[in-house]
Amino acid sequence: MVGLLLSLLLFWAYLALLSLGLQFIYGSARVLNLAHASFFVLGGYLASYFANWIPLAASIAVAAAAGAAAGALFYFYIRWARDETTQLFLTYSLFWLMEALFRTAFGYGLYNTTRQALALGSVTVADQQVPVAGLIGVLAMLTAMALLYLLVYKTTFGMFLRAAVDRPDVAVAFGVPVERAALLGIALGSAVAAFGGAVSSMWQNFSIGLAGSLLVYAFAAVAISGLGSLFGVLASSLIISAIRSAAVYYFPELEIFAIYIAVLAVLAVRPQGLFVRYERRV
Amino acid sequence: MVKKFGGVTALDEVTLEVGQGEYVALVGPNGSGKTTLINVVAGLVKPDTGRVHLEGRDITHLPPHKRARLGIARSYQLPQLFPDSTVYQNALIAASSAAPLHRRPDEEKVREVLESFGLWEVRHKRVAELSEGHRKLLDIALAFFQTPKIFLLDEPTSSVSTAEKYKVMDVVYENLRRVKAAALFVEHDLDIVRSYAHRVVQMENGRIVGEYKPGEI
Amino acid sequence: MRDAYRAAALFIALLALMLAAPGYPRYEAAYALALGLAILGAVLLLDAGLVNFGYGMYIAAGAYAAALLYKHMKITDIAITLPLAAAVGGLLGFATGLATSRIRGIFYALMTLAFSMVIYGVLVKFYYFTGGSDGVTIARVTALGARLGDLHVAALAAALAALALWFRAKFLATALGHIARGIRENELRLVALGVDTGRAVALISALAGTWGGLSGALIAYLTLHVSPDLSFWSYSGFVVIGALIAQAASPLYGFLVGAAASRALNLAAYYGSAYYPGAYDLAIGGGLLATYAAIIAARRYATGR
Repeated sequence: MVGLLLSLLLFWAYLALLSLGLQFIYGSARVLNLAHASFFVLGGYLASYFANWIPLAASIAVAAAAGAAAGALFYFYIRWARDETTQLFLTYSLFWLMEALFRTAFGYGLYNTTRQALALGSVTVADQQVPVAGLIGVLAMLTAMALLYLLVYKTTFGMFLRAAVDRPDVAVAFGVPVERAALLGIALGSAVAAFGGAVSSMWQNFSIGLAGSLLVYAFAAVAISGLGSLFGVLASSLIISAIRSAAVYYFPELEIFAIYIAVLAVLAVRPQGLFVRYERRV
Repeated sequence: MVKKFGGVTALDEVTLEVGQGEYVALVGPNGSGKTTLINVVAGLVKPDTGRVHLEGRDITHLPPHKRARLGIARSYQLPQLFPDSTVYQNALIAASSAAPLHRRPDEEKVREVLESFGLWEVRHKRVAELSEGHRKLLDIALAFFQTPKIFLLDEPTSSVSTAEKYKVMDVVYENLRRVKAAALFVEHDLDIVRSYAHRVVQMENGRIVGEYKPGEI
Repeated sequence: MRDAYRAAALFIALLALMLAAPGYPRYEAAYALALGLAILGAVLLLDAGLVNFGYGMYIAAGAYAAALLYKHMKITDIAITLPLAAAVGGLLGFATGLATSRIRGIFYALMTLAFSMVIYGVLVKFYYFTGGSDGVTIARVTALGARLGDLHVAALAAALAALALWFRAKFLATALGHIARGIRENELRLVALGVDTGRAVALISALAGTWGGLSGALIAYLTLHVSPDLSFWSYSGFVVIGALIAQAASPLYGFLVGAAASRALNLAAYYGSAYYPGAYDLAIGGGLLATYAAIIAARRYATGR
């Protein structure tokens, strides 16, 4: 039972760190990045690579910084994609180009930091051994969530973000730096993704093809939650994690189907998502 | 009928009847609920309480496409056209709504409708090349392929030059008369209202505050 | 009638091409035509504004219908297998169309991507039935008892391509063809005009799936082997590129142009992968980007925006 719970929590952290950035970027710049999972995977690859020479914490920091840089580059790439179809094709192309990059730079091996994670040891909770790495993972998720929430709702920058996304033309008239908000939002969201990938490398293997399967999970989380809500995607990640963990433990054959049935069920009954009140615009 | 959006009451105890072939004008300041009323009749918005009836039949739970097929036609303040197509193609698409899916749309009817709206000469023009008056007329013409019983016009002459306003309304009026449709139109220009309405209904803050004959305003 | 003459002319031209170029060129030409059927299906969806990232699942459906009929029941006659492959593809198309009838945009693309990967997973997993990741090899193809050689299969490809051209001409003129365009350009208005767009999308998807199924069966008989890779997202990526090019090239003949371009790109990736491991990914990503950028640039130039 504790094993199931732990697996559920870890996958929740994993998926939440991936989806929070995606949702935040949409909230800052009205961009749905199909290559977002690739930034997450980039973080995992980089952390695993650097952890061979520098401490794990530093590796994670390097990965996050690389994520921010990639996000900034992505902002300039996507700047002129004002309509959804262009975004679709530009970001999907980027996904493939990054797969090519991964294949070239990292080859076909498995990358992770499980060695460093094991060195962190474990603690005893309710007579069970719980790895410290797992606890760090969950902590990382909660920290990212808190950070993003505070940013969006308790700072002036957050106010700019919300204004810029609701009515960019009006916001500009009021002096809100709409483009700069989008740039910073995308950079931060991508940094969170890379950070999430880096942290997850403690228990997850990174290799070719992972970005593609994560892409679908991330969108499942956003679809079930509804676009724009940070708490929504935190909750939907938990729901998906619960479904997946139950499937893996009790009905392994159903694992691949369970998630899609869940997404379809939500979209059929409440197309704007479970945690969003107004009609989805995408 | 009552409709609330969050904390705002868009329609507050509104009751309205439109007779066959009657033209009713809806006037009032912005935010008085006129467009919400139109959207409720068209089926885009569900009222919190109240019903919508067409010729005695309760259509409150019917989705927009079914209502269109029953004869609820509408036009838009900002013309909703098919932007990458020509006038003729726009009409073909609209005509396709009335044809079985595997058949060709009725091109005779396309010609008929475009001619009666004065759009036949410009049928090969792209939508972006049309004058504002023509765009409005096309917007209204598209809804004539499902024979309208009641036509909901949302500011049919807004952004049309004063010189063209009457030309546009004359064409619309002629076509409505031809198919014996009723009309409920939102209009700010009181001269237009006086010239074309049988009855005027005034709204404010979601309520109907007055009903007048056109001569009385 | 003009549509029938045009299709007949295409068939004769293609048949002449097949006769004139034996061996490998004939194989490639036939493969491109088979792919063209799939591109046509993808174009039907693209006409309605639906970008299907998992189209390969319909191709796989038809291919496996043909292959499994052989593997488990030793049926090789195209008189039986082709209609069945088309039906399986059509059914899958209808099912996915129903499931996605209210979903558009990026979410539609992702859902179709997800469906195709589920089917990929199923094809790999149920080893005893599907042959797993090894796939299924087909020994021979027959028609009404007589064994078909490679020229016959190539002629079959030509015939189906001609049929596709005839269908395309007809489709563009029907109400459903115009409704597809309406969905792409202003779906909300189309609904207000009385069209049940969800139902239209389901039907268009069924048609798209049917052509995908036919394409898959033909590919199965051309290559005499099927594998789950047909449903993998990279195969679908090439189909999307072909459909984009098709849509830009010509409403009527585009699917042939798109097929040729897509196949050429696929071959380039295949040969390139000997030198560079990321060749396929680069081909799809770069191909998609270049194609779409070119289309946008051309559109901006044409309308002066």
